[in-house]
Amino acid sequence: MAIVELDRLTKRYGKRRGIEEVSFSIGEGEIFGFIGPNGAGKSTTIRLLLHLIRPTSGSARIFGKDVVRQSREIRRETGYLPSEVHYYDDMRTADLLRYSAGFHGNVDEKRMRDLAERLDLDLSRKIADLSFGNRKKVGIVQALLHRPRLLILDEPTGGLDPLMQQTFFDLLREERERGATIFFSSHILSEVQRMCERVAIIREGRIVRVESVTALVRSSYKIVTLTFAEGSRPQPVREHDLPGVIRQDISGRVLTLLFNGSIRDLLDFARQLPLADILIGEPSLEELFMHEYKTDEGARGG
Amino acid sequence: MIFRRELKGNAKGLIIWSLVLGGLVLLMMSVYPSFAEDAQTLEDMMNVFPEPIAGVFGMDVLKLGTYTGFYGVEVHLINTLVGSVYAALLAGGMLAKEENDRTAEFLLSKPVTRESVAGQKLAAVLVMLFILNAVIAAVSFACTGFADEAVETDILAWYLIATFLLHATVASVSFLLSALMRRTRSVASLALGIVFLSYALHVAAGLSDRFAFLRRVSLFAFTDAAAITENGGLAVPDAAAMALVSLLCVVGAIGYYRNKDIAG
Repeated sequence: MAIVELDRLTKRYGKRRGIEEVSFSIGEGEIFGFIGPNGAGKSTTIRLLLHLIRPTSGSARIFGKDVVRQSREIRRETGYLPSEVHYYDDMRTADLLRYSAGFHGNVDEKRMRDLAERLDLDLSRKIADLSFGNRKKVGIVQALLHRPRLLILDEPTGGLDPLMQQTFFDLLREERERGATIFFSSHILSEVQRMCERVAIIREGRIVRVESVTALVRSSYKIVTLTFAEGSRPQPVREHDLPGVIRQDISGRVLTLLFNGSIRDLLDFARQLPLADILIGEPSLEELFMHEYKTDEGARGG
Repeated sequence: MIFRRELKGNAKGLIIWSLVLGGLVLLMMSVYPSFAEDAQTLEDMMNVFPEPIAGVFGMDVLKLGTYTGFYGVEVHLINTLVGSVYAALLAGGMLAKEENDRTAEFLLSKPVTRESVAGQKLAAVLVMLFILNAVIAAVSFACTGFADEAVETDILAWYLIATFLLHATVASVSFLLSALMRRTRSVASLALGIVFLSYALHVAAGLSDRFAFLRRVSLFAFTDAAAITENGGLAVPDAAAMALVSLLCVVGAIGYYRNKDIAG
């Protein structure tokens, strides 16, 4: 069963861009990434799912329930970490967490202390005195405390140092083992690549593609690094020499190609070159992403 | 949850405003015995005032030599006006402050309906205004000990009821603004503007019969001490109009807030 299902979800704000006909679905127990640059519509989509804003058209269902009409029931089993965490400055961390958990029923004091300890968060501090990173930790505990079935995390790692990010990812894996579904937005591809099975890529309010991370990386795209022998200079590759070059870059004796043509053609082509070294590898999500965003054709093609 | 949190979070403010208003009532009424002694001299002195001016303060009807008369001229104005400022600030902040401080994103992602959020916050406002008015009432009745004569306690009670109704109406109007707007500062200025403008219109209406129609648009109209004393109670149509205004504001506020897009 799909835990999250968006059907042509649209939000328009007059002239300002919202999102346009966004559709995808997330299965139970999945860790699903949502990537795109700032302002692409990630937060808008998430805020629609939580009914903080109302859709202009289209619909979305979570746990099979309508996000507009049954929002309260949905939120009962959802944990949300906003990209910017703002809490009541007059409260202490523990009070805020108890207040938050109180909406979901009883407060699990032990779980609160355990989570706080693992994230190295002082529960007795006043919210007003917390640094940005510590506020984020409060947000993480707040989102996890009531053991939600669905976690919606908007840019969750911002403000966390690398060690804390590691702890955070460990926590997410434990949540997933518990059976939780995780929907995770980010503009940092490496963390999405590390955590998620599938991703939706959003650009200017529209979904560019939805694919499994492995398929995305393993798609026919290759990064080909050709190092020329001493004394020879690489020339730009022309279409009739080797079809399928998406992008090329020459730096000294090194020619780098983003390539999705035939491997046979590539090898035939390479054989004629005075090469010292050749490296054929899978592009990182970052490299693919640059490509999705830079070429309009690629953006529409997915 | 939200109701309790609002009571707790606003307790300090409530205590301060209650002490200030209760203290002012006590301070003003403690002067009353010396006034009452020289009641006749006072009346003569007051007659020197041109009639329109006296009319503004209700002194054509209210006698400074009686407890309720003195209260109506000296204290009732403070209760209504200062209390309205508190009601405007308190209710005006309720919904807008969550968006202004960007905590709305936290609160509204919890399993609670918008109606419940607005309802609990409104209930907290009304309870706090009730407490403030209870303090004012307690002090006002305690101060009748200063009077030698038999105090018209029913008139005093009507003043106090009118004051509470006024505070509730101001709170309802401000609550509507709080639902419509996002910046606490703009809500506060607009709500206070309405209170002071409304008071100014009330004063203008008292100055001359030509401006009497202004009473229709002033929230203060039905709290007028002289009118209460003359009628021996509240003017029912006025009170009903205020109740209707309050009800419409509350319904409007909740209706709008239900579907409001919360700023990110």
